[in-house]
Amino acid sequence: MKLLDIIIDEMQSLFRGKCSIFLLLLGIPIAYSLVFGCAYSNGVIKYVPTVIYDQDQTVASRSLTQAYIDSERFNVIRQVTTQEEMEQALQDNNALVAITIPLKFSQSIKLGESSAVLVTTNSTNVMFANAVISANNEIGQTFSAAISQKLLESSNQLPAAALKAAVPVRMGVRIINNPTTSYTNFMLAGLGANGLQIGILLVAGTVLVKEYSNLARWHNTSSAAIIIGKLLPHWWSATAIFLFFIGVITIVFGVPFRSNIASVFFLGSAFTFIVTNISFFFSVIAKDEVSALQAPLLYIMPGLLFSGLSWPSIAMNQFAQIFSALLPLTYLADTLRELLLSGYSPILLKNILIMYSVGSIFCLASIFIFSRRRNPKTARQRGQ
Amino acid sequence: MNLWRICKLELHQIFIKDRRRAIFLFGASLAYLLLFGLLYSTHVLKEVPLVIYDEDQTQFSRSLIQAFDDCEKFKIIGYVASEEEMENDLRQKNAYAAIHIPNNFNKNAKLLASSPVLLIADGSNILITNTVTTAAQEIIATFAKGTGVKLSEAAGQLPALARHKIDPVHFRLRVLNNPTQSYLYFFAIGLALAAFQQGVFLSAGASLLAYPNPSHLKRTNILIAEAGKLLPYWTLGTLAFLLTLFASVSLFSIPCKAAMTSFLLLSAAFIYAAIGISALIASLCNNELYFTRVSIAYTVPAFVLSGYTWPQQSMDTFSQFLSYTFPLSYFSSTIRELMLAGYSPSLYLNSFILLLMGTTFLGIAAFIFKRRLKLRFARNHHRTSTSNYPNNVMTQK
Repeated sequence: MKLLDIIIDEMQSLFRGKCSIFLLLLGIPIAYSLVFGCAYSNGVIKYVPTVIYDQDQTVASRSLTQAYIDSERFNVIRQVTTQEEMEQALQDNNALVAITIPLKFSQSIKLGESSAVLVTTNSTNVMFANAVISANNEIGQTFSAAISQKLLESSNQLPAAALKAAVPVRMGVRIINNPTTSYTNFMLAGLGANGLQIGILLVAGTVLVKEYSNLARWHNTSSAAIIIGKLLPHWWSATAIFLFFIGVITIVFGVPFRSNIASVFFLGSAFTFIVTNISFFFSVIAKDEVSALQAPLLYIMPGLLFSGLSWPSIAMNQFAQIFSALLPLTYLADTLRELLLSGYSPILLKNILIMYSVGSIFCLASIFIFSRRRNPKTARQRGQ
Repeated sequence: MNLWRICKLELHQIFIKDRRRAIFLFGASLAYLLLFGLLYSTHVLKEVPLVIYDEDQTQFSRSLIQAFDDCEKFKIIGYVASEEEMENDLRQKNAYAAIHIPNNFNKNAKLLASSPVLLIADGSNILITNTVTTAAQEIIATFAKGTGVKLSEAAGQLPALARHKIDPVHFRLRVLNNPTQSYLYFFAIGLALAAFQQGVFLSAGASLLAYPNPSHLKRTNILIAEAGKLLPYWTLGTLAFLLTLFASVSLFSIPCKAAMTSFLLLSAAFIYAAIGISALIASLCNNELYFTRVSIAYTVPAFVLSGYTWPQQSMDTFSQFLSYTFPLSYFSSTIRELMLAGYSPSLYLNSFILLLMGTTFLGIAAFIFKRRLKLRFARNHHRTSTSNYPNNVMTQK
């Protein structure tokens, strides 16, 4: 068979049948993008259930309570009247935050004694605790500055001067690339790419191993032609699906697209090239189709969390950095997010080159192993 | 065949004939625990690269820089002399945050003109953004209070009074269950449990899709056949779970505060449900290849939608509904609560739901398998009778 015939044949087998294998390749990244896009549609964590134990019941304590009610981060579900009730609410997970305003809170402020508000939060899920601590810092500082201003005013300072004296240094925060710290912008592209990676593995992983039982068909065809002929349709289809899923997350879920299309295309094509070749490699070394899918699980599945997408590489130890460097998603996930959110990635070219080079090495290794396993002499030696 | 014989046959399959099943059952969760335990071994994010653009260059601005330098959350990687340089460092990812101290910072603070410091943080990775903004807020607040107190003292206030007027209300934070907000405690066990589910799926699915010979089961009740095949996975699965728990405590010192009976109850219920859903998928798939494809594609959504990281309360209605159909949603977060807090208010409810799920899934799977077995027997019978027919004809002739 000629290379072109193999390509056409493989294209047909991708689309053949009512439930074509192409749908599996297309379905997983698109389904992941849609499902996770819906799950993260709130963008940030809001309305954390909160109980308030206000022992003071004064104007000052009520204005602090009001500050928590006004914040969208907190959802004050009820005000409790005893310590036991508060602890019970935390223990039953009805509330994840409890604010305790002590007795004589207002009096202590006026008398110049230190007055402490206790914020208790359940940190079993760190996502909640992060949101709570950050929002609480803001509320606390604003409330404290307002009280401080009033105290300074009472010692004959003018209101504006009193405020400046209370807060002599301010901090302005500018968050670039993802100003709302939206979880959709943060995770969706990476999760979709992970879905594409799984889709490629499930489809391409079985392609070559099944040919071992069908070798008569390839009698006059070289191993290189078989593998390249099967690689190209899978690679092209996966790249088209990559661009389609980027379209879905930007149009349906509003993930920014600040880069030029060429950069995203080359990055995506390099990624699909390496993942298809890795799947082919596992396919040529496997003993049957099921093992071809199961063998790379430990290699492919942890990819998302080792890619630096959520846990950054600056926080990884040496082992994690080395393992991360071996995974294809590491060269895509963070770079793709940078392209989408900031329009630029300093390591774009480097990552594209790495993925194409390593993909080519896997391709050569697959050709070598496939030609050895289909050779009757070596197959006999291996007891096949 | 009776229940005990089927169990024995299955154990032989797991440990002798198809060792892959034992590897999935015992190896998946342990391998993930090891991998992610090592990934999150630093527990929290520290030493985020920071650049400083200090236009003021006074003792006052240097004392603020010192506060950032002293904080373990930041690592000052350089000082820049222009805004362009600062932005370039952020763009090139040399730094993930920048502090810009403006000109006349010291003068404005002392003249009570309120002086702004600008923190620029890269928002692409919100883990970094959260760490940076929270730590910078604390540093600036402490620095502002210190400055305010000094200014009040300079204006003739007594030190104690000045301190009180500038800092009248303290907010004390008490973080329960995971006080250091360690990512290792938060994440690693959940990931190991997601892999554990995958291990149970692949091994139990392989068993259900590999009937040795339908005639072996011809006189066996389908429920006994299903129970005999799945009972070893349930027992061994519980053992694998306990091993994972033991490894997480002994290797990574993850707290394990609840009583063992709570873990046993929940894990037994979960494995029952996981085996049930595995049986249901297996009953719908023609062969192990389709089954493997479905179970691999199922793993990621089951984990992400389980509420383990992104809470169910923050999901939309559709995702919440999907989340409630996955057994992992009733297991992983509850196990984390049991480990870190020592109790979970939803332990009994979740165990009950899992048992109910398992029974429903197994019931439906048994029904489908029974129909499929009947079809296979009928097909075998048909094949035998048609293959005998010509012989009979030949003999008669």
